[in-house]
Amino acid sequence: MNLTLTVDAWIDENLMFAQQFSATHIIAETVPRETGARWDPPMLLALRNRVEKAGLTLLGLDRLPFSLDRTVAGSEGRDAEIRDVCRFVEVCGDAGVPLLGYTWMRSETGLASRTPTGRGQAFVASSAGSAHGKTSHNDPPWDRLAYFLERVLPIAEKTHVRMMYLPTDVFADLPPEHPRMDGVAEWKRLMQTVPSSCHGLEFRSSAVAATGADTIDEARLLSAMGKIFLITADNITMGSSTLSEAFIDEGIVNLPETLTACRTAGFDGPIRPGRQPGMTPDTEQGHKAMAMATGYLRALLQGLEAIP
Amino acid sequence: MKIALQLGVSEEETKFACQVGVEDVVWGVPESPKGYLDPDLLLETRDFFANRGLRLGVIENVPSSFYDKIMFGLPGRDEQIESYCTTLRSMGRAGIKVMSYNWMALGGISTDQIRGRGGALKRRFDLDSALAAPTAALDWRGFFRENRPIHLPDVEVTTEQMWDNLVYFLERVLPTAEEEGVKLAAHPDDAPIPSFLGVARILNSVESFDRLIDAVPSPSNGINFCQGTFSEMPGVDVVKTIRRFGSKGKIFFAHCRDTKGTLPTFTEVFMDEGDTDMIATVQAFREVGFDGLIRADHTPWVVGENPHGHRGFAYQIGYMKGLAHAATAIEQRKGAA
Repeated sequence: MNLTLTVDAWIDENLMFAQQFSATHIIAETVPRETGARWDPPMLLALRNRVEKAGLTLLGLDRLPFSLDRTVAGSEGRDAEIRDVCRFVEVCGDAGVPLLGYTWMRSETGLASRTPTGRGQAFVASSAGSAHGKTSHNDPPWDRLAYFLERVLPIAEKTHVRMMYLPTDVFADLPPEHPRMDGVAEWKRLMQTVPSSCHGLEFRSSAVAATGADTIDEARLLSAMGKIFLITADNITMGSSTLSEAFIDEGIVNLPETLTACRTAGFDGPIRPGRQPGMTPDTEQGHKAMAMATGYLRALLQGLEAIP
Repeated sequence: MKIALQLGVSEEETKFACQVGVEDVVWGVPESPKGYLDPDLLLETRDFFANRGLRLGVIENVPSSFYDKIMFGLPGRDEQIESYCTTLRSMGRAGIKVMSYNWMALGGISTDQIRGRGGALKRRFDLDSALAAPTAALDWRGFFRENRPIHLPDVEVTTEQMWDNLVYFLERVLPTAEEEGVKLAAHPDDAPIPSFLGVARILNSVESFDRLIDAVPSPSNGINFCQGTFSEMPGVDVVKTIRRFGSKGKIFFAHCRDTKGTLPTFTEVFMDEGDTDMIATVQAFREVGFDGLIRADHTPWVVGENPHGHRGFAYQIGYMKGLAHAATAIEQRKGAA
């Protein structure tokens, strides 16, 4: 597995940080270099070059650099949005950036506010839910998803760009009426909606655990299906009726066994640490907490090599 | 074994430890004109950490001014030994059970820093460079440059004289340590060269630690197993050495770090990129039933670092926890098979 970090790759310090802390691959945050700048081929090539100059590999972009609000809503204007997506997929293909994440949320969605209730008074977000799964409200709009995928995935196949669905963040501050795909069964259905070798999932361990599913079983199953394009390793703690963000080494996800299950089932792709609680003091990007999570994953990957 | 950090008495450092999930603390003692630690200071320090959810388990390295005459065998050593026993009694009263010490009469020796992975600054030792610029090698931390001129030795001390001085010390302090339930954990000489500027360095090989343990038999006489320093010794298998001393119950405390290369030239590196099989070290510590503290040792200097080195230490603590969790997973699989 390739240890990967998601950073704003336009900032030199972030690339040094990634390399010092043993990452080999980068998934770039889709932050424009200049306000209002568009992601055109020269810009993406420049990004790739600067990552490679730092001795790292640019694996992909963490998400589309523009909103899918009309596509998610199924409203007028979605065809223009989808055309933008297709064009951007082609740009990624031309620049040799082979992975592109997308979400199915409105773009203004934020995260629940954090309070100093984590380990050592670290700042964590919390959400209603239990080990039996977060409450899912509305059925996902499968027809809108299919409409989007039917148009985008052929372009992805042609340009050898892999589109990766990013599960809804456990701590996303979504209104109750917002349709959400919170279950593993829904993710599997999503993969079958428009079958394509260029369509896969981010396996975010916190999101899987929050559904009440067994992360180890699901890791094995989804790896065997070849549908995990990226593992995001993070954790959550569970109260009687709330889930909270946690550091990577605490919580209900058994990461050693989950990663072993992925490896045994044939997964050999990228793995990155997910969002960590806010340490104090730390940078806005949480470099200190990310250093700890990266060290944890590095050791797990080295240690699990000893498992036959 | 319990993962630990060496901390100062400060809110920022204790908060860091709590947030990275460390509960056990090692304290490095500041200079004091008294020449010993009185019980009130230790009780106050222990309680400072305890009030923040941390256990103070090890005192590491009292200032060399507390025992320099003992190491050099100079007049006044008996007074320093009495003061050392006072420190041990204070530790007993405060319930702090391990005293880590070193027998480096001239202190640690290093030479320079080189750029490593991602431009991180890594400590290096090169014997030729040390011999060419001995003052700089003795002052590799820059303490003396800032505060006072470095004191070069005006005497020579042979290997056997240095052993005599160490045995003289142990014979007189170990009875007090035993009475107080305190264990003395000797750190290997870093760099583990046989002498420098005519002053012998004696704890520089696996065999030297056999000699240390046999010289004054006592349940309080043992080792601070610094993985990094043992890995600097040519031909030493760190994992086998953990088993060798751990199986005798002689590892009282440990340092976790790694190096590339051995004498005459080595570089201190991130834990994940050195010459040692780190998962095997954790397995070896577990096999021998080591239940003491293992602390994250020096770390390369990284981008955006704070004065405490917290980014580097966060990485090291995460790495040590990952190793521990991986070792548990491996054990469970072996148990199930």
